[in-house]
Amino acid sequence: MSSPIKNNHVDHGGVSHWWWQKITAVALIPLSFWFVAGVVSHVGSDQEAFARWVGAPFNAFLIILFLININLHSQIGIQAVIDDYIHGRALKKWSSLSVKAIHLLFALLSVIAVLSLTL
Amino acid sequence: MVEFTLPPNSVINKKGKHFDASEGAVRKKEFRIYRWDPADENNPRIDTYTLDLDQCGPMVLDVLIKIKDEIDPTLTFRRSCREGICGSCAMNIDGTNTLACTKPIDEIKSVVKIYPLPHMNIVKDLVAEMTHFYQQYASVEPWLKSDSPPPEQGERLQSKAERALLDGLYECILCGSCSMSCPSYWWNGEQYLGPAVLMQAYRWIVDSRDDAAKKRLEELNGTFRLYRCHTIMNCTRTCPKGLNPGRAIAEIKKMLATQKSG
Amino acid sequence: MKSKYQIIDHEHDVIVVGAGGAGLRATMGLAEAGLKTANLTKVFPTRSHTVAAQGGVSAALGNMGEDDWRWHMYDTVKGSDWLGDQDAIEYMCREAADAIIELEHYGVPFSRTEEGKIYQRAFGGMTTHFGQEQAMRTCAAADRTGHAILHTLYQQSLRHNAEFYIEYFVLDLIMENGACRGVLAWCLDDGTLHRFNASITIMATGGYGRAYFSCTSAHTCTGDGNAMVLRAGLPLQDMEFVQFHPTGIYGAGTLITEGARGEGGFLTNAEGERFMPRYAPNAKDLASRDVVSRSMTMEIRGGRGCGEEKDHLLLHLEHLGADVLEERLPGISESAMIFAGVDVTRDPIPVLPTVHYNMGGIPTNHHGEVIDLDGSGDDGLVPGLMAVGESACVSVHGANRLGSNSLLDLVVFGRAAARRAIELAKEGDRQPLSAESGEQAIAHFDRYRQASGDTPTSVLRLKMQRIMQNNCAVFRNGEILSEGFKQLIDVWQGMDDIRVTDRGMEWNTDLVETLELDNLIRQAMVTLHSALNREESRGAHAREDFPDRDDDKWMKHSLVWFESDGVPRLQYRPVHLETLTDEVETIAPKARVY
Repeated sequence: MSSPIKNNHVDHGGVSHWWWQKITAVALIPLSFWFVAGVVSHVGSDQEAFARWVGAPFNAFLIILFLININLHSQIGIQAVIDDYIHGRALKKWSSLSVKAIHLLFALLSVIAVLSLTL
Repeated sequence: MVEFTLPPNSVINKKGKHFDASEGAVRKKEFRIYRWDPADENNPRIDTYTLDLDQCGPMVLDVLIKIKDEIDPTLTFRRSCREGICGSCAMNIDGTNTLACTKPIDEIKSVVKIYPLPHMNIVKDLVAEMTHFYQQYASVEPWLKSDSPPPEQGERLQSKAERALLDGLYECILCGSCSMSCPSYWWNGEQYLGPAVLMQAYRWIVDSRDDAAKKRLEELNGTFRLYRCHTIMNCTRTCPKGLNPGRAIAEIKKMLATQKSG
Repeated sequence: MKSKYQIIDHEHDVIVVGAGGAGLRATMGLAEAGLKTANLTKVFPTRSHTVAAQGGVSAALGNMGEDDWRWHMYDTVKGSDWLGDQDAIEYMCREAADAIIELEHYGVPFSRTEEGKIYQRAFGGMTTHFGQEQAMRTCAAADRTGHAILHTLYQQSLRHNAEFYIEYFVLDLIMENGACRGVLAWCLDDGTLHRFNASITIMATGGYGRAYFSCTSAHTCTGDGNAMVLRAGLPLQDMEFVQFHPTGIYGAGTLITEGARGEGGFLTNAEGERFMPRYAPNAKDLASRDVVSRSMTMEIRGGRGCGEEKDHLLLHLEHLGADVLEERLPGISESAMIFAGVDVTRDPIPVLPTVHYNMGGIPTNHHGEVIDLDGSGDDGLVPGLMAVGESACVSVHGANRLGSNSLLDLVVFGRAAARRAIELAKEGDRQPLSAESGEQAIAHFDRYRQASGDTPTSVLRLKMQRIMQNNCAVFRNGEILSEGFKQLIDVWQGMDDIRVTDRGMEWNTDLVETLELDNLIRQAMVTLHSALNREESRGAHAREDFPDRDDDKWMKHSLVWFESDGVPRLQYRPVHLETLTDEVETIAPKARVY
């Protein structure tokens, strides 16, 4: 009657998930402000000036940080949605993997794009 | 996958019964109550009862008892202490999970809608199947675990300050109002422990007499057991005893995040 | 009959019926010892009425000043108005400290003193030095002590893997050749019937407060075990002693703990007078419950009641201050707000004596073994049957129970019964049930399941409750009692014309309430009959026509049987004046003043 429910889903990912979500969220606050301000300040300037701003080493570094961060944060967030709402084991695994892959791809491509402007 | 459509046998039949027992009443009130009987093949229905509030006690439970005694003896619900301490009569009243015995009727402005606790299997009328909830409670091993034997003579000592840590936790009556108000528990109740059970786990983690905090935290650390809590806070809003399970869960997460070896 | 229902059979070493404080304490003790134990309960364990106990549990720990279990014993004997058995009272008071410390070790969240020990408060009738000064003896977890203890005992039962059958309504004992072989139970969840066979059956089914119209007891307090014992042809003891708690909330009937007065609260009448010192010059508001309830009734009768109807009194707590109220009496502060609309930090609570506890019940010895008289009128034991808690009459409470002695009774005798059952189960061999075992119980069940008369259960129940309320109250007299008994006979005969509307087997609470009414009416009848018969005033039994205690004639326990034709039959047992050991001397009867 009182047979306790065993912890069948031992995954200790919870706490790291939680940490990364907080860290990326906190980091995104200054990074987003800075990035948006940078973009807004270039409204009306030509493409070359903007590319120069992006390609400057310090700016490129922060933009890459921003892009990795936002992809990571988004992946963590969507993973939580998958965990919440998708119950089928196979579907859950498949969607988690694809979300991971898509975010990785996005991060990679955007980082390469920024790097290409630094050259 | 989350279900967006209701299973056919849970669709509410539009043809509920109507009972009017308010002849000559000055203060009339309408009550709509969820009814389902496992003994027949019919889908659930909503019965409507119009009562004279001057002929009835002040609480929602008084209404249910009045209906059972005087109108329809087949109306089925759990009740016991009628003073908010046993936790039997938790149900969804006016859209909120609470205890029928301590919910005054006049707090509800219009028609009073009474349903069983949401997202539960229903046994009959307002009686929800609670077994899984109780098993989850047992699964956190809610008893004192100490590395050292108790003193030969007398009690384990506990300072007033240490004891104060248990206030707001030990008073839980396991009525289930909070867990059954939590969307995360609705979607993932099979695995997610839910606010009531997590708060009881926390009650033992912070008990100065208990030595198993680390082990308990380890057991809780899991994407599904704990981290389905998205701080929606329905639990704290709905608790009929004024407790704060949301805070207890936040504290567990904080402890897990800051303890040395995860 | 049997063919009509499918029966599922179970075998256990011990079964415990009821999961309140006593039932759970016994269950965990048995499970801990490794016996195959089943607990059958009609509500989930933490919903049992022990959960509503507020003020505390007594034990002479001496955490808040000098104390001695002998003083506790003296108070209990005096509180019982010398109807309590002194051997059993000695056992309870001597074991108290151990049993409470054990509870602390199990994890009960008791309130604490500055030194970190269990907090203890003053309670009515609890004194030091044999009646000299007020004792601080009642161990408390704020004003939720019953909740704290019941939850802890359930947790310990889980820890020891006790087997629970939750929401099983036990219908009757299975008796064969004068011995109890188990019970027949009805699973509400799926509507199946179950036959439990066990070496020992322990009844822990609580009191029957719901025989009255207004009581502090839960809706589920219907004394089912007492009634099963009556149906089995066994007697109940001292049923005339029904305790009225002085402070039920006026109207709602919910409880305000005696601990409220223990912390310094007091009662006033319509003139604003603190009247208790007139009745109990020493103990004042902390006199024994029967004394305070009678005093309150006298005030109301004297026209000094409060309110438009002059029908209640006021309990003042506002002088205690918000801090004390929040730390020590948070639960009743909440109750007063919900049920009386009173903010206790500013206004007094309207209160009225309200039925609260049944001193009477299934007669047992201090091991919890059920007693029946043998052919020569001496004590004999009923093989296989035990009883604990409010359903039992050990008798430690005699004619009047002291506040906070009830939780103590539960844990001490729950523990004692587990110990005894372990011994008995070892030596006893379980007799297999015969094919027709439980037939009577099924017939009883089926009778009501098919009942298609003209009177709904609720109508008959209300009639009974009104009779008990009016005719068997704080003050009684022969005329009113015998009139009440005649009216109860009508109710009893009315059971033949009862109507059950719900015909289902699953969660048929219409039928549950009808079976509970059958249980209640039997107890109501033996209560009234015993009260009519006892021509003296003792403890909670106050006869206006016999205002004095009469030790020569009435210092004896009433045993009452309920014959199948609905006629109660009385016999008597002597009170045990001799103590259990020579560590304490018999407390000789004397006048009882507070």
